[in-house]
Amino acid sequence: MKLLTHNFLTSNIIKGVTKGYPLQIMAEKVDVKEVEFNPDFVTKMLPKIDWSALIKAAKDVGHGDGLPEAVIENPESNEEFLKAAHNALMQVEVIEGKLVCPESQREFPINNGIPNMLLNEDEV
Amino acid sequence: MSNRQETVLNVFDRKAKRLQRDRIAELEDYKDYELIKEEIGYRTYDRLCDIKRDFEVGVELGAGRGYVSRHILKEMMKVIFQCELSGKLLRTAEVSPEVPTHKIIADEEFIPFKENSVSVFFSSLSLHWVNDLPGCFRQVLTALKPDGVFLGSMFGGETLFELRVALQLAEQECEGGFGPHVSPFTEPNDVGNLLSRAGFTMLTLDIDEITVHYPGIVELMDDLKGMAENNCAWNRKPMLHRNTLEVAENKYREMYGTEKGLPATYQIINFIGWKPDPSQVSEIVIFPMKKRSKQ
Repeated sequence: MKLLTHNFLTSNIIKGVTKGYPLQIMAEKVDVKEVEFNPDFVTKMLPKIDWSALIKAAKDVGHGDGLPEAVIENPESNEEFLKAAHNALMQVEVIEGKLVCPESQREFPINNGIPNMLLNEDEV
Repeated sequence: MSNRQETVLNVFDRKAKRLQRDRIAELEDYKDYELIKEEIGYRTYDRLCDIKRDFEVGVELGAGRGYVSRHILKEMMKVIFQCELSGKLLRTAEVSPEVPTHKIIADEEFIPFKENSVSVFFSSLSLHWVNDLPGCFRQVLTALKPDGVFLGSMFGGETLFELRVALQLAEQECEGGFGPHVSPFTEPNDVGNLLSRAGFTMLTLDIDEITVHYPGIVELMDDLKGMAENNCAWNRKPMLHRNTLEVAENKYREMYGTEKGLPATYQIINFIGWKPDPSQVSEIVIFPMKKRSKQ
């Protein structure tokens, strides 16, 4: 699960949960896989990203260095910033671990890089 | 404005559906059973092409083997999330050859995307197994950004009517009564109503029909199983007596058979709906000028 994916996921699907974002990450295995840097892609995705959620996620998985606390001004012209964002969003990958709902503490497993957001029969 | 409490139908055993899909994930000859899924997946992609819009974030709901995503190129979308109930099937899913595609095991009834984040949801031949369509549609709407689009195809009421009738008549004759074998489908009108009630605007609905010919009733039923489209309704009758099956095939051939074999109808409801946004042109209402009267 890339941190890009994590940035979109919420646990508001759980009955009674309304503040299920962002999900906490408990990582057991993290990889950094090289992905071709596409500055246009990063620039276009930035407005859709909750930056503080990204920072927190990157720190949760031990890859929070090099990321500023906020999106800088005119990011499209700052290659260093874009590369750092690209690394966090597209290269860092949680292979095994759990996503944790901040409100209910319910855990969603991540196996082989894929998060499982299914609820159990007794939760629906 | 009334806030009707909708009764959520619990028609389908979702766990059974997941297991059926898990099973076909391991099929070696799965390509033999994919004809309809592939065809409608392509047509769904084709419909996406008709929307003159560059999407940023796309979600394929009920992705199966990625029947829609596999066609999408980088000009159309920036990132794709594939959602599927069966983790095993999802792992086999084909991804876009150009667009970064990420997989999430998720149920269409519990859509895990943050509000206002998705540009387009698309779904091909999966929604007809959803129990809570109103809930599903509402969640899609919430996750879509304003002016986002929901595009889908699902099997409709006429699907497999020949099979349904043949089985009913045969069971009536052989067993003195009949139980449901073919699952219930939504009618096109209902889909429109549900989308509208969930809050979608600018709805477009149309219906396709595909007829596939089979040499026999067993081949048809095998085909359905091979694409995990076999019934998972809670009330499905588990047993089909061999005698009944033989009689059913005869009746099928008698009533519907052609020289090509037994025709099976797949009716596909195609819909597009939009999340409201002030930028959309709304109805123009003309108020008559009030005549002012001098006091």
